[in-house]
Formats: sequence, structure tokens, C-alpha cells
Amino acid sequence: MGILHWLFSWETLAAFLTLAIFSFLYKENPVYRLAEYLFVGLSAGYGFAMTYFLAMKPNLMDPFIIPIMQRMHLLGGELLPINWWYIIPTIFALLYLSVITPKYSYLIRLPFAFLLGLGSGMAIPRAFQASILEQMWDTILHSPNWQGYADLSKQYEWSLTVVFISAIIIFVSVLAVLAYFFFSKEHKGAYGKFARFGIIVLMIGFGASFGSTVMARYSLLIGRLMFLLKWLHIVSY
Amino acid sequence: MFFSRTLPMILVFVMGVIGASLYFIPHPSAQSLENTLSQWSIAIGSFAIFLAITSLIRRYINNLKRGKEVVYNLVALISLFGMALLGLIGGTGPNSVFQKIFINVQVPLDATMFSLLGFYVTSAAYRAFRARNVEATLLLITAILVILGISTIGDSQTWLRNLQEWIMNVPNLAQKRGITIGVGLGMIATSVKIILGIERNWMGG
Repeated sequence: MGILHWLFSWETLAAFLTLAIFSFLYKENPVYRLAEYLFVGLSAGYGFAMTYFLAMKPNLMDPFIIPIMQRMHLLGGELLPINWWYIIPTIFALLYLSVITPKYSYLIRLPFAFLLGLGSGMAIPRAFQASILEQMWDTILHSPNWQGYADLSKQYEWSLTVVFISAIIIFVSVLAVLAYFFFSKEHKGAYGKFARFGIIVLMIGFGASFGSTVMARYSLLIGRLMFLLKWLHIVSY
Repeated sequence: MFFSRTLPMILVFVMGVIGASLYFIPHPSAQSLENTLSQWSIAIGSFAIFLAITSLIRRYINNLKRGKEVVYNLVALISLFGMALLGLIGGTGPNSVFQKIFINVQVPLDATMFSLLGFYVTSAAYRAFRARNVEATLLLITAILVILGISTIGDSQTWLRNLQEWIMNVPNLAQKRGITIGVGLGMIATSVKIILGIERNWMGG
């Protein structure tokens, strides 16, 4: 009974699928491909259901489509109020289906235009705020940041001198990286040397990103191996 | 011509101007309009998943019709429909079968798939990382220091852990900040080009 319970458990299924994916390390094989197709199918189904409940239902179905269907006696339940303004996104959403008929497929450009226009418009002030102003504010060496330096010193147990020197390094390095990406001026002389310092900062950053990415993957790998050992009752935590 | 090119261009311009200007109007009605438009864009955007799923299903069905990899395509189709229906009919609550399948099938598959990359990244690094010049040497040394600092060696060698933390928080931060500012400028430039109709690639042919 114990073995049967173990054999037909969710954990055994998860372990089998884990081993199926790991089998790719030897070579591509039918078991791996089965797990791969299962993964794609499940991900698409999961994505569809979650998009429906998190995005489509509260923003389109509940305010407009479900109340209309209730009035047409296609759905039961407590009568929901109709928000007629939502006829606009409903029409735009339905225009996606125009792609089915080649003659009217150009109509799909309208929902794209709505999304792209609104997204681009909203992105301008937000990108300026988050990606430029905030980044510059945190880079500039000025008195409002001093409390931040003290907090950093406490957090990492670095002396205030190290934190302040680091802040100067960040300031100069950010300028150097920007100088490297500024192509309107030829990279020659003192400016060229400064831009070259930018490349060095970029390389150090890429090395750090690479190292942390590798460790994140290893962490996942260790997690999967520990799961297999736990499934086999070799380790208990 | 009007519906296929002019109307989409007008719509992009109008929505772009509305989207950008609402940020600067502190009036409650402007904030309310901004919220409504955001909800509409989520609703319209979410409907696009129908297109994506339809395209995927069409591909699998075509493969089945051609008799190409029947078992695999069947598995993908059944799991797609099964998962979607389980979610739509049975709900997505924490004790639902939908969540059980997600936690016990999809999460292990996902984690294992990404953990495989550990092997390939290591193998690629072994082949590609050569200290050919100053830049490549710096990249190599930084990567090694960060890997050692994060690993258990960093627990006993505190100087290594401190150095790794400093690399992550100082030069790495500076590099990311420089790139973020560049990306921000690029986003603004591209958005302006789209709104003004200079960039029209999104309309296709």
C-alpha cells in the first residue's frame, strides 16, 4: 500500500517529469520530447485560464459581456449592472477576430493602434521618471542621498568612507557608460579614453550578471536534485 | 485605405497624446479616465491570447492531419485543452486540480528546463571565455569572483562575500544604471516616433 501510494503520487509524477527533462543531457529522446510538448500545452492552457480570470473577466466580462448575456437569458445568477462604456474595448477586442477573414484582416490594426498609442503615450512620462530622472537622482552626489549612504553602510557593514568612495565610482562609471553609448562625438583623445573606461565598467557588469545568472541556474539545479533525493527518501529535508 | 492605414495612424496619435497628457493632469477626472483606459487596454490586450492559442492549436492540428509526430502533438493539444478547461470550469483556487497540476507538473518541468541551462552555460563559458584582452579578462575575473562569492565558499571567506557584494552593488549597479538611462531614452524616442507616425512597422506590409 505504501509503495503503491508512493508510486501513484503527485511527487512520483513530478520526479518522472524531472528525470524526463534531465534525459536531454544524454541526447534528445522520445521521453524528453513528450515532457517538452506536455510543458508547452500546459503552459498555454495555464496562461489562457489565468489571463481569463485575472485580465479578461474583471476588465471585460464582468462589466459588459456577462450582464448582456444575463439580459439575453444566456446566463443566470444575480443580475450585474451593464457598463455601456465597455462596448468600446469589446468592439476593439472583437476586431482581433478579423484576422480569420483575409479580406478584412487589416482591421486588426485598430486594436493594435489603440494599445500601441496608449502604451507609447503612457510610457513617455513614466520612462522619463523611472529610467532617467530617478536613476540620475540616485547617481548624483548630493546631500539628500547622504541618509541613503548611511543606510547602505549599516546594511552591508561597510565604513562610510567605502560607501562614499563607491558613490563616486558609481557617478563616474555611469557617466563613462553613457559616454561609450554616445556616438555623436568621435571616441578620440580624452573622451575616447573616458569611453574606454565605460567599456571596462560594462565588462565588469556583464561578468557580474553572468556569474549571478549561472548561480541562479545552479540553485535551480540543486533544488531539482534535492527534490529527487527527497522523493527517493535519501534526504528528509 | 482610410480604414487600413489612416484610421490606425489617427488612433495611435490620439491615444498617444491622451496617454501622455493624462500623466500631467492632477484632476480626479483625469486620473479616473487614466484608470479606465488602463483597464480597457488590459481587456483588449488579454483578448489577444485567443489569437495566440488559436494559432498554436492550428499548428498542432495541421501536424496531426499530416501525421507528423502524432503522439507529441496529441499530448500538447490534450494538455492545452485539459488545463484551460480545468481552470475555466473548476476554478483556479489553491485547492483546485488546476493548481495541483500547476505545482506538481508545470513547476517541476519549468524549473528542470531552466536548471538544464546551468550545464549549457557552463559548457559555453568553458569554450568562449578566453582572457584574450583586458576587457575579456575583466569579465572572466568578475564572473569567477561573483560565482565564488555567492557559493558556500563565500560563507567561510567573508572577504570574498564582501567583494562579491561590492561588485554587485557598485560597478554592476553603475553599468545597469547607464544602460537603464539609455533604454529610457530609447523608449521615449521610439514612443514619439510611433505616436507621430514615423515608425509604422507595427502595421505590417
